[in-house]
Amino acid sequence: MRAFAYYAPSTIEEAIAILQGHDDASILAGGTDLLLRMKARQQTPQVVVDIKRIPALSVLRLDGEGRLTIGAAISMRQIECAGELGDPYRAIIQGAGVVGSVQIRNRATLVGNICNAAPSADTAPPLLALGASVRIAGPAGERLLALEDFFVGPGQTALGPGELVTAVEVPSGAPRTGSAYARHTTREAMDIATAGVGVALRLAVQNSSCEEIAIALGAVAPTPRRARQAEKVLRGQELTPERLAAAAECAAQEACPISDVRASSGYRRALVEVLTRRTIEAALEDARQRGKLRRQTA
Amino acid sequence: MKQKIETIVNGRQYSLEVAPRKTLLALLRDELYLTGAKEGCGTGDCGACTVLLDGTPVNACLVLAVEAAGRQVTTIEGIAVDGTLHPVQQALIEHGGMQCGFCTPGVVMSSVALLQDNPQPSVAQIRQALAGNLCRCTGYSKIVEAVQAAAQQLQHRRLPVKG
Repeated sequence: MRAFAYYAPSTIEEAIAILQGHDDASILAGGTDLLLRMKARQQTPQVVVDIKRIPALSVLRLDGEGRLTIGAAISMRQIECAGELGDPYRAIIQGAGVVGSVQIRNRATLVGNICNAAPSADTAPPLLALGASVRIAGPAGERLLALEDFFVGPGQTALGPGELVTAVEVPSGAPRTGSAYARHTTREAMDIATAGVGVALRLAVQNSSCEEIAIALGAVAPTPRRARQAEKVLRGQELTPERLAAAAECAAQEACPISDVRASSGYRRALVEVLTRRTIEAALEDARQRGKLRRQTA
Repeated sequence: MKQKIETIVNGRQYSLEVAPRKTLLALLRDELYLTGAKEGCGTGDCGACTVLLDGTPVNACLVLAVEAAGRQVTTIEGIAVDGTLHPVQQALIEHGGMQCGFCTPGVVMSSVALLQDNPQPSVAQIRQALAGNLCRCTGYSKIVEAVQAAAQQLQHRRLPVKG
């Protein structure tokens, strides 16, 4: 790695000041993306700002209304093991839990995953499906941006100069909601998603139709993104096998994958169709299970 | 510009001056002569450099030495107690879970951490915990058997697990 100056501020304000003061500064959280690029000299910042010593960024909490806040310093491993946050954020836990290895997950952060903005980021489809927002702090103050608007291109985010993401916020899960994430990889672990699908849905009171649904695709477009046409097929409808198949086909059409070392675009499209159907079924099962548990504990 | 850091490695306090770009792996090997952790890839893929940072397994090649300031590091050299091998180390020998030995320090670190968190892991859980430790020699089966045997040993003896 090229030489650089290292700072470990203890407040968000200090971090912003350092970022503002240097054109060529990079933020260090887990380091599992940044240090790789620095070793390969793809990124050669003169200043590295370590945000892990800022207590405000270590928050992982469900507030009174059930809104989930994941601070920028929270590791994938912390999320993977946060069983008590599970309901209804199962998809986020699943996404965080498949990244790399235990060693990687002990360092890598969820916020780092979305800031790296790879189209294949495993936490992105779950967060998109669950309607997450990104809290950004910078010289002009604080702003909240929908995650959908945060991804602007492969590896590119809407962060401006001097800005950093302080947390990801996920709205509270309403009753009768379920979520799931599934991906296809060549290996069992230590692999990047060839295609990934995240689904969150809410069942109607009668439990037979889908009041609300969100389907998000990963690794099959320049950014992780919602499959809105596929959602329209199912919103307000009974989730029959025929409708699921139609929605899955729709999602596959909405994907615009590329061919690369991992797969051809045609194979990726085929994966989207299969994964969409399976993930909706998993989210449905999740919602039903949660409904049962609620009745049992009532 | 070198920075002064205080860190505890295998229970011993160190005051060191390190350049920011020095990785924890390089610090351990080059400055402290703890050469048990190996650089198999330098990219966090192989796990040969696995050490425990505040008790949790990490790839030392992707941690800057300065990030270890105020933290506790445990390497393979800190696992045996007064020359007595840890059950994981003993089991790897007895079950043929080690051939060339290059991946073994990392495997031991990951396995020790696993058994601290999950004293009776299933085969699937062992494989998942070791997904970040690549082995070219053994084909993994004997490593898994060794970890299972070590788990049994620890349960029988109820030894305090070091880490």
